[in-house]
Amino acid sequence: MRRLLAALLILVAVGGASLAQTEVEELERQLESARGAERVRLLNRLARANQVNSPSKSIEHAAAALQLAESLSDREGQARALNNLGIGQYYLAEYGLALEYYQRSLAVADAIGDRDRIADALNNIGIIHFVWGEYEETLRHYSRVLELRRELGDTKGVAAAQNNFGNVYYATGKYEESLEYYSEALRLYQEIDEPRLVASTLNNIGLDYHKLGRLDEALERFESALEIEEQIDDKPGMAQSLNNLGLIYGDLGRVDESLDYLRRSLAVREEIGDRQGAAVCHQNMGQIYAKSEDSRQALDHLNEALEVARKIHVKEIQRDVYLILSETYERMGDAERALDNYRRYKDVADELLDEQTARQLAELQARFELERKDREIEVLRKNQEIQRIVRNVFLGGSVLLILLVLLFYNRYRLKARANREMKKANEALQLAQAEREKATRAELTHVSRLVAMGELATALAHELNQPLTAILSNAQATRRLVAAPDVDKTDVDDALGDIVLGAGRARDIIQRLRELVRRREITREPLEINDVLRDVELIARADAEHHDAKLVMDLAPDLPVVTGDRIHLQQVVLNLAHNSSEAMAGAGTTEREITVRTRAQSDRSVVVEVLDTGPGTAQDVLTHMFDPFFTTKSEGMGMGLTICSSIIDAHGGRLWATRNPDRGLTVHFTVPGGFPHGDPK
Amino acid sequence: MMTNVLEPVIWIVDDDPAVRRALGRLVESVGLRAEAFATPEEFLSSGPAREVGCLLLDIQLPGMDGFELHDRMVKAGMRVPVIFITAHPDIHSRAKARREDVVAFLKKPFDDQTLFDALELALDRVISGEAGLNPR
Repeated sequence: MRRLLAALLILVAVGGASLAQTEVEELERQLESARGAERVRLLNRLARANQVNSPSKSIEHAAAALQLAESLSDREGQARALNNLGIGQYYLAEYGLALEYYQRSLAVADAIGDRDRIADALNNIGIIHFVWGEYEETLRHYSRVLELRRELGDTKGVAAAQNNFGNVYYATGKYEESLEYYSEALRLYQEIDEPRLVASTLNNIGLDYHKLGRLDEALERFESALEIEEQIDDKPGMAQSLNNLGLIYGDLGRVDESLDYLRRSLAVREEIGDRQGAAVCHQNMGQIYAKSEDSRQALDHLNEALEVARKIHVKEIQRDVYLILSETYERMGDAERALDNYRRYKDVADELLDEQTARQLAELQARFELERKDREIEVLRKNQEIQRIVRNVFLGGSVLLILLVLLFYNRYRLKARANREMKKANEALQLAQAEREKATRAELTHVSRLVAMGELATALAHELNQPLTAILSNAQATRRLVAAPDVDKTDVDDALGDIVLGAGRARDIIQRLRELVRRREITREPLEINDVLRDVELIARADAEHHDAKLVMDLAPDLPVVTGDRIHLQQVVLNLAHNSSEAMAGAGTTEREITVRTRAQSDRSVVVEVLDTGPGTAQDVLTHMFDPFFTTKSEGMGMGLTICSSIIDAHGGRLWATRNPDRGLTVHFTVPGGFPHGDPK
Repeated sequence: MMTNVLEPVIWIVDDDPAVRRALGRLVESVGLRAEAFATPEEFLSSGPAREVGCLLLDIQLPGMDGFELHDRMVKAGMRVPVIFITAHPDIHSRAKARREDVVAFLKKPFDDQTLFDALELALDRVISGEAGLNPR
């Protein structure tokens, strides 16, 4: 999933408009004779014009603009040039450098009160935080941008801010919200007639639909975007749309079309020199080939992606490609290379994580230094005050006593202050914790949606019975109709028409079922099973308490690392705990307790057990409880445990149930440890 | 022997229009009279008490479900033979369907002969007067 995200992400940096080649030439011609502030303006415009297609050229122009603006004390030109330098570095994926330039631009713009430039800088700083996955920070910046743009009556800016909000919600998996922001941005862009941005926003909307599984709607948006981009010859946009179309067709299992679009996207990106984009295309093509089991072609493209990503130092792509390479070699049965690539994947992923941690630490330290300086100044001021008072007191006598009193008083005040600060820090910590809990809860909603999916699958399967009933009854009625001596042709025709309709409906239901199943791909990553369980403790506890049951977590320390899909494993545990709660509540058990237990096995796999104190169950139920559509619940559909079982199967583990010696039931499942093995299916 | 001279009617209550049409057609193909309704409310307001017949009743209905409709009829003194039909059979609803006047519990989709057997059973009861409509 994350891989796809990296591959699809679209950002709108403010004003990154690409001008037609003729306009660039015109600007270059004008530049020859331009002097002073006009020259700064032209250099800045040239920097803008080259941003996307040729970042290094853009940086050259921006650097020249900055130098000239500084010598002329042209503050606005300076702010613009700094911002352009930032955007150039952004397109080179030098995010740290970009941030520095944006901050300098912000300082200059702030000094001259240029609100447009302030908004630009804040927006771009927000984008950097976004790229680093620091979404709180991102939203903080975007909110200020939106406010400023509204004050300025800058429709285009408001639209860009809405679009960027959409990006954050997209990245955090809130696709419905994201869709709302994108739609608002789209409306505004259409209103002010900005075809390039209309197209780019259509693309973003398509991505939401893609995530929501509404592939047809996604396809439609990508196609519309592409059409607009071709009309206005927006090469970067075309490349993006083509890439997205390729991925959608890939999802639809239409390999040839998918590869065709990706190839076209690659061609455009190579033409405009977008090397990062080209690497992404190679990565995507590699993945499509890998899926269609053409390992040779897959390896070619993946290695190409890797080479480009290394040249331009984009570690995110390297990380993702190593993982796909590892999976591909695994499928080819080359365990050595698979392991090798997996290790590289881990290394790069760790490096990226280290970089992020280092950055956050540096920020914290900077903040701390600032506060310490403030404190030192404060202490100094206090000391001077005391000295002054002491001097005065000396003049009046009673020196010692008053000095002592003052000293103690001061110490008391400092201590009270320290206490206050401690309290503040504590509050901040609590706030951070609340935020984290909120994030976990959001993720949990996602998990419970997955649980609900099992029920959806069942509902859909049962739904098939409706058209089948109509078809069968119609067919049997028709047989009687035609056997009658005076056959009424219209009656027969009506019945046959209804049979056709019924078959169409059945086909639609099966299609929906298939989509549901297809989206349930299982990813494999090394996991600490206890962490995975602790993450859902909150919701499991809430659910248990809702049924008047107690939840006990009994997690063994030092378990081996297992391989699996976090979300899916959480889904299984939540489902099992939920079943226990319902069973105990349904039977009116008085002492309701659910225990989630982990323990290691000798083969480096881990067993997870969910025990309850409920009514237990009969032996014949034990053997059938994992069968599809088997249920003992009045509201149940009988798919929950079947899906759990298939998830554990796909992990190469086993799911079974036993009766407890005293009372209740235990459901056990194993998750294999160590390096990910091939799909057992 | 025959206490009722009215021609019995098969009331079909199912919220799915395709199923409704198909069942109506099937019932009529053997020369029986069928009347179809999308909701229990629609059925009740059609004045079924004036006629004799039996109910082909879907369990899962929006709003009032099949069981509730039957409860309400029993309370109102309308005793009619019922054939429950459902696309979502489970242990619980099967147990719940074990009540007086219910002659069959059919899982959708069902064969025409299964339906006709159930209808025959139901109509036998109507005609022999074991169950009948008692206004109010």
